[in-house]
Amino acid sequence: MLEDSEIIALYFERNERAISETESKYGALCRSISVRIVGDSRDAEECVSDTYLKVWNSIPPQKPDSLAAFLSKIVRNLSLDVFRRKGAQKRGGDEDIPFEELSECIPDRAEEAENDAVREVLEKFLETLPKEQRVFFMRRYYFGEPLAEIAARYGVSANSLGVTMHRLRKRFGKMLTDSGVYGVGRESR
Amino acid sequence: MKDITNNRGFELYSLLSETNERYVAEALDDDFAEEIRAKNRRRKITMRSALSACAAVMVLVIGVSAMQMQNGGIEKDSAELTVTDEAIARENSEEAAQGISADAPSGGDGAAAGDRKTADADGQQDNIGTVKDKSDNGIKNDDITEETHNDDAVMPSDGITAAAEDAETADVKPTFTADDGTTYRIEGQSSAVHKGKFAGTASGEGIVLYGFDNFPARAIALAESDGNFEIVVNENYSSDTFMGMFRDFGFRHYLHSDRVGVVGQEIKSYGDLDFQSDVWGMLFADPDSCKAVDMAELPQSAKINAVTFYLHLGDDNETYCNIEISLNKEGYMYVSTGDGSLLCFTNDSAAAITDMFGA
Repeated sequence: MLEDSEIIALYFERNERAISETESKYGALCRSISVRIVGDSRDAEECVSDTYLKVWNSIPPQKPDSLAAFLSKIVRNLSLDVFRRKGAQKRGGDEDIPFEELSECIPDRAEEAENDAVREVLEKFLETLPKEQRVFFMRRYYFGEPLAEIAARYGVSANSLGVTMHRLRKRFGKMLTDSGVYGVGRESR
Repeated sequence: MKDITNNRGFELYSLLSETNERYVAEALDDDFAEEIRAKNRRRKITMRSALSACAAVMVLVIGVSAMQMQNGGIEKDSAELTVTDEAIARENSEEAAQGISADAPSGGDGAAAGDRKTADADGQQDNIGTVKDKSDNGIKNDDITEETHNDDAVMPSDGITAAAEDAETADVKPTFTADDGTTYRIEGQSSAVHKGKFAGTASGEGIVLYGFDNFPARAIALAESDGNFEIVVNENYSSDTFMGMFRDFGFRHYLHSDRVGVVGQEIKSYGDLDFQSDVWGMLFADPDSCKAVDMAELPQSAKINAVTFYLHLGDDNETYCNIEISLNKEGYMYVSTGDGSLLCFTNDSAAAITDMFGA
């Protein structure tokens, strides 16, 4: 399996082998990110294919430091677009929906917030986290991975991880409230 | 079918796509994952020794309280109690110790203290820690005063009977009323640990033992799930606050009443380990029919079939370990670690703790 730098070099050479090497190394990752969002393997395959096209059109001039992170971002965004287009349609099968957990972080009766402002708070939140907790948060809410899989990857119990995630959401929620980006403070409970 | 694209959680989820790619790369780093796995493997081995001490401490406290109840009440006030072998030896009587551990495989003088010695991984009799009095537990509720720490004080559990009785014939009410007429609204919120089993803000089915409104620590409710009752603890507040609350209400209850037993301990260090955190455990029992020291009797109550007791080691940043001690409907106690591995299964609570943690 080629190193990222070698695959990126193939893109720069406009060698179509770049795509097959990308698929070989990161195809499973891209599909897992996509299917966890769109809930359907066919839609996920489409997203992954579109991802390769986007990467082909992006490199060059872009030269990502981490090809995996670069791919993840593209496939994630494409998958979210598909998910939005599907609208009210039921996601297939999996009811483990991480973004519903994130709803806990938002104050009740919150007003509209500027995405840039929320993004800033999010970045600050992630920056303040110890690395271990940050990766837990990212695995759950960026990659949409089930808690059990995250727990297995890092050798923690799912129960303990659940407690940790709960506390992280609380902490994030407090930062959002304190920042005032949603216009109201959280109700005291 | 709801359109969850309008869900604000979805918006937050979407915004994560724009986060720093460095964080994405971190989460994909297999080397870091292995580093964490190795760290947790080492931690689990270390924690087992600590758990031995913690559980043994709980047995000791049960023994002390049993002796005090037999002697007609508290001999100590709510001032700081130092849980040391010397203190236990001073307060314990051989009869009380033998009574609590009558079925323990290793009986003998000061059986609880003996278990404590046995539980020490390194053979040392360490000062396990202190139980703080309420004055430094961070509780700001003005209702909790020194004056309430007396036998005549109305305790929330006095009103629980009504709720417990009602639960036999009706759904658990979201409130309960103490004998002085104070009504407490019950609110519960599951931690993520119980997600899927007890979600939402209702008390769920089962018996509500404690609920407080406008109190630093929120509600603790028992909800039936898969045939067991579980303790659900709202984690909005620091464990210090919970500890304070349990010491004020639960610990007091424990020492004053044969109804409900709640044990709280704060352990800052054990041996070479310095947790800088709280270790706390809670034990709820049927308020009407059981004696807190005799968990084996709990399942005989028609009102409550099981309780689950959680011991959590950790702090706000990380959780070292959780253990669960549960009693099922048949009166069998089983103890498991947070990862679900079963450690013990018996119908003798005292023996179970001793057997498991005393070796």
